Formats: sequence, C-alpha cells, structure tokens
Amino acid sequence: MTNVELREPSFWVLTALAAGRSHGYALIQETSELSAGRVALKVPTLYAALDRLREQGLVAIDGDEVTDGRLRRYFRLTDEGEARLRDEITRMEANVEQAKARLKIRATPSTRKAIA
Amino acid sequence: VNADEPTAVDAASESSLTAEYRRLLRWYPKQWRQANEQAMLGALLDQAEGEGREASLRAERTAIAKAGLAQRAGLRAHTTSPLTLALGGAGILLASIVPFVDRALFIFPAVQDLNWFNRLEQSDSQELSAGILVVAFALLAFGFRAERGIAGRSVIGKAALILFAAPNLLVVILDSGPMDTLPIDHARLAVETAAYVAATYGGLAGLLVAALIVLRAQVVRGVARFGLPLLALMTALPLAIGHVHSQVIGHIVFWDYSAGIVVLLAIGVLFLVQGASAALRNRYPIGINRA
Repeated sequence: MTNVELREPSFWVLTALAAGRSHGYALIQETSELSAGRVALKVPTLYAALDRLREQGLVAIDGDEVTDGRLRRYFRLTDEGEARLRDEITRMEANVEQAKARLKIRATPSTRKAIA
Repeated sequence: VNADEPTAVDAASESSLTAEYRRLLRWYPKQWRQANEQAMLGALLDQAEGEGREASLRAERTAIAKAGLAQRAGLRAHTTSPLTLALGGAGILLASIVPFVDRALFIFPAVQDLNWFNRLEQSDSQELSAGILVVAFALLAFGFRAERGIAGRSVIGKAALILFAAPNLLVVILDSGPMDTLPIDHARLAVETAAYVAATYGGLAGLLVAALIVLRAQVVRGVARFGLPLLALMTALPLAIGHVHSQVIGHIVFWDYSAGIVVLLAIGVLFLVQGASAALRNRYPIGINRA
C-alpha cells in the first residue's frame, strides 16, 4: 500500500488529524484552511473519505461526544496513518525535487537553445 | 427560487432541517445508518449552522444521494462471495460435465486405454456427478471460509439448496442397486417409491424456495441470478402441466434430463465467471487504487 497515491482530500484529512483528534465539521474547516480553500469538503464526501481511510486502517474513531444535543464523532490518526502520511510526503518531495531539477535545466539559456 | 439559497431563520427551522437531513440520509443503507446516522447528522447540522443556513443546499442533497448510493453499491459488492461462487460454479460445471465424459467414452473407445478415464468409467459417473453436485451446493449454501453463501443469512435458503441437491444422490445410489439383493416386497417398494417421490418433489420444492431466496439475497448478481429460477421454472412447469392436462398434452416433451443438465451447466459457467472475475478484480484492481 505504500506506493498508493492519496487523493487530495484524504491527504488533507490525514494532515489535519496529525495535529490531534477532530470531529466532522472541524475537519471540514481545517482541510479548507490547510489547502488554502482548494478543498471544500461536503459532509457526505468527508464521511466517504473517512470510511475509506478507516477501512485502510489509517484513521480510527476516537469516541462520540454530545454537544448542544448533537452527536460529534471524533477521529484520530493511527500509527499506520502517520506512516502513510510520511510516505506520501516523501513521495511528494521526490516529485518536487524532480520537477525543480527539470525546471533548472529549462531555465539555463544555453540548454533552452539546445532544446530548441 | 434558487434551491441553494438558505431560507429565513426561525426558531422551529432547526427541527425541520434535522428532519430533512434524516430523510436525505435514507439514501444510505440501513446498516450504515445504524452506525453513522447520528454522527453525520450532527456534522451536517454543524456545517449548516456554521454557514448560517437553515435549509439544505442542492449540492449537498446531490452529494448525500451519490454517497448513499455508493455505500449501497459498496455494501452489495462487499457481500458478494467471489471464491464461493467460483468454486461452487466449478463444482456445478464439473458435475454437469461428468455424465457427458462418461458418454464420450463410448464414442471414443481408444480413450478408455488411459488410466484416469478408465477409473472414471469404472466408477459410476452418475454417482460421482451427484456427489460433486451435493458438495457444490453445500459450498454455495454455507460459503467458502468466511464468505457468505448465495442464500445470504437465510437458514431456510441454505436448507433449500441442500434439499435440491441431496435427493439426486439418493436416487442414483438407489439406481445403482444396493437393494437388488433384497426380495421385492411391499417394504422395498415403499422405500424406493418414497425415495423417488422425495427426490422429485422434495428436490423441486427445495429448488423453488432456494431460487426465490437466492434472488432476494443479491449475493449472485447479473444474468447468473436468474439461473436457479429458470431451472425451477423448467422443472416445475412440465410437472404442473403434466398433472393437469396429462391426457391432452402428455406426449409433448417440454423437458428431458439433457435440457436440465444444459441449464445446470450454464449456471455453473455463470457462477464460475462471476466469482472468478470478482476474485481477480479484488486481487488485481484495475488502475491506481487511491485512498
């Protein structure tokens, strides 16, 4: 499973949970903030992502709490989830390094001429 | 009126919004709702409150419907039993082919020189076929390892599948002559008659019940799920017509055993293909498996 690509919402959900346990709506707000507004999750989409991540053992339910008569279900990152997030970061960093290296080649006028 | 626009806020609206979300959550399967409805409802209400809304958004309703249907599809996919279907289908297929192999030995006598075929020929292929069929239907009824059987959780369905397959074995055992040494008396005739009646009507009753329960259980899907009902219809119809109008159309051949074997063979192929393709899909998912 280590080379499996994470979707952006799943990546941000894992990232949000890396800081500590959180519940549904708080996760929606956090993922939106962390992604600079690119990921605007709806509750059904968030729960579908959480179901998938739970099936893969990356997140776990961390208890239910009732606040103002509403049930809030808390989720936490598992050890496997943390390892998966670290793998994903390593993969993304490697991608960034490759892209930067290619752009450096393109940026040199002599190489640009050679390519042309 | 834009359905995405929130309506005016009033004191009673929260409960109506709660009721609306509850209605929308019915898109999800019951099993999922029992575990998650309250938590998801809380999150939906939190989000509506955070955005200052007192009504659901159209995009939200669409997302709930899509996610709910996906859950239902996923649940169905999860309950299919690939190895049970593949092995059960292979068993039915083998049971259907064995009698043909037996016949083929008469057409190709040279084949009888081969040891394996000789052994098969020496053993009674009908008994072998009926035995394999019982094993295949037991497997389909109870499921392979932790998989669910094709009748789902229904105990009656499981019993019906066995009831359909087992009498065939009883009949071929009786046909093979274990009672031949006994004198032909009333007791022997009564036992044999009871066995044949049980095999014909018990097997048919088992098939009819099993066909309905398997259809409802949705473990078998696609064309394959109509296999047992078709077999039941093909078996029941001539019997029913035969009883009602035997004097008029008794001579019309609706059914013979080769037709039954062909349908059974087709069921075996369909189960095998469905089970094997599902097992392969599970083992080698197509495309990138994304979390």
